[in-house]
Amino acid sequence: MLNLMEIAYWNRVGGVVESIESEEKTYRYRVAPFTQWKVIIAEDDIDVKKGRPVVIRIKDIHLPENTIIGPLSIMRHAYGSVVDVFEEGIPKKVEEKKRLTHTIFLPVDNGVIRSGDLIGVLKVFFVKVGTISRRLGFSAGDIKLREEIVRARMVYRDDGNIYRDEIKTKFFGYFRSHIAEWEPLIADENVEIGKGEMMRINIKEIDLPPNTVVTPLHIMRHALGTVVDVVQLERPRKVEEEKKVTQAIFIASRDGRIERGDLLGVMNVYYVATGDLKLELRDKKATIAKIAYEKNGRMVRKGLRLQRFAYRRKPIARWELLISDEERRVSSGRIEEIRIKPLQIEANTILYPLYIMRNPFGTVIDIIQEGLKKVEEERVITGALFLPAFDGLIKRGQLLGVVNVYSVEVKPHEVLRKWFNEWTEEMRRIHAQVV
Amino acid sequence: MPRWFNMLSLLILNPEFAESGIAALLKLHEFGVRDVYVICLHERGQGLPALSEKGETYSLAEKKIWAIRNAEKIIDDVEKSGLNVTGLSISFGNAIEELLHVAESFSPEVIVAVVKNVDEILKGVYNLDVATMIIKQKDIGDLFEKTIYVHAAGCEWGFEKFAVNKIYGLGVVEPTLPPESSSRIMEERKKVLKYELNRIRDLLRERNIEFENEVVTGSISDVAKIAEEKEATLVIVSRGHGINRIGRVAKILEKPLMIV
Repeated sequence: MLNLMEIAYWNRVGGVVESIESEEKTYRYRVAPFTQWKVIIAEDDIDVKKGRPVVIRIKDIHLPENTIIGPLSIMRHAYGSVVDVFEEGIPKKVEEKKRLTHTIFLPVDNGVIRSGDLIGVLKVFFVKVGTISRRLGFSAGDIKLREEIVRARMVYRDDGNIYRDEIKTKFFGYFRSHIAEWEPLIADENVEIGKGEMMRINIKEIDLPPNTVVTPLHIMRHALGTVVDVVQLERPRKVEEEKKVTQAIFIASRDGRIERGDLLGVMNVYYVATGDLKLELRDKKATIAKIAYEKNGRMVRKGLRLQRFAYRRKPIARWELLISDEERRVSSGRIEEIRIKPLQIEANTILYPLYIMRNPFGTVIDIIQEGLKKVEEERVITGALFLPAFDGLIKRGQLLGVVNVYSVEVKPHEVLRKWFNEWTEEMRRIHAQVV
Repeated sequence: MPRWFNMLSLLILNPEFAESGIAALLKLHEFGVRDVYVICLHERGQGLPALSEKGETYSLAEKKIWAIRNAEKIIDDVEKSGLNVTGLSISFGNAIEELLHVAESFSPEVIVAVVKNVDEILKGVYNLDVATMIIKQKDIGDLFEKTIYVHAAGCEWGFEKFAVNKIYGLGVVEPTLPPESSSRIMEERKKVLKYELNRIRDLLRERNIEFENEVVTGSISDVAKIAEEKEATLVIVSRGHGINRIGRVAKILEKPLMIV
């Protein structure tokens, strides 16, 4: 018997909620080793208030067929981060062209977003979904490289001052190595936080080498909430430059206290090749952090030595559906932990958000697993951390969102150097041949 | 010379022909073209997909890095010429699909296609109703110095945006069978064409543009021969001739061709 779910959507953003029924199904796909960026540029002036998500009209983004999108971390606007994007009408299939028109922006401060401000960056992945075609590699013709070159305003902060610089965007994309490592985000201050509150929390500084991109690693790692994005307190740097991450934007789903040394979250750091092949690897040492988790209804902390690991992603991945297992009334800006139909996730997999809102009332910003588990272990996903951008009623059996599940090969950090050297040598050889 | 406000142009080219494409854009700059969306066409990359993960990464990298480098160079050259690049597509073997996507999304007012495969581009642009210049050669010379316009009866002339000083207007009447009716129909067609060409002449006169014109009997392919005789630098053809007849001209014409 077919299991059906409800997909609800706006007929136009903020208009009427309509819905269709669709089969609950897992889809597999192949992802290309080439990724593009798309800049998100505000189309209207809008006042934003700290912690209150707003829907912002953006300069239309056109995506070619066979693409999916996800977030590129590191806050791109001084007043906050994009947490998801909208397309109007019935959510399109991956195989179709898409036009993105709005975004949900989560402000970390009060201020004004101006028309022309660059408010975020999307990663565009090229995928193949066919049963046979996904087993074969990509050829150059499978990847439609389209880039609008536009003027935009980069808005950033530095010691409390806000700067607005005009730039001309020219991002053609990069080659992924599929090689990455995890960076723990460890609180460097004590903070009291309330449910629904959002804070920029100082973290132990992270130095990112040139030619790295950062993405969130899903699954809540702190009992009080999750990291929405990370912050670099200076003019945003290019991918090919070194970066320093000093703060994390944390949103709380419960009241409580964050302590110095708490593990707030984890980010993926991927090595990539852009035009500039300044590829560099840095040795990492194990760190100590406190894991704050819930046990028998209480929050407990456990000190842990975090060994450094590297991993390599496989090109075949799948989508898993996050389907509500309860009815819940939600109101804009009030984050909720929503029970979902349990998902069995096998060992050696990581989860990464799939953008484009799949629920009209908001977006899934993280997911909740049963107990404390490592990437190398099997897990059961039982809940979603849902950030509503509109008031509404989420029904049981309604789609909340979708996550990408990637298989990975996890190895001690020392192996990273071998993988990295193999890849950089080959990329440099190709680069020397064609340039 | 009239300037039309900030026209968007779509430049389609094989990278090795970038020079003549940019030269054509610079000429069009005088008519108000300022923004350019560039489509770079590549024939490489149509091979079989790689079977191994490494093979996939490295063969893609070889083709894409090369294509991106070429595109960046073209963008730099276009920008150095004082034009503003608004976007870029890199297409591997599917020119028409990319052309239609960009045309639908950005509504260019003029298309410049510097390509080897004229037939393919013609199929893509014919129904777009956008002035399209097709260039096959590297040296385009002084593009608008000696323009020939080939009119089709009953059609809008549509080249006014690119009209300067002196234009030679041409009407071509192809013989039809049988001879009795042919001569009567031909005479009628000639009259209509002459009348319409004279009307264009009168309208252009108001803009101080000289429009000498004649109607000839022959094949549409004769346009190429007449263009040689008159030492034309550009041949403008009305869409009203139909894709097949325009294709015949495009195939043999060595000069830049503009379809309006």
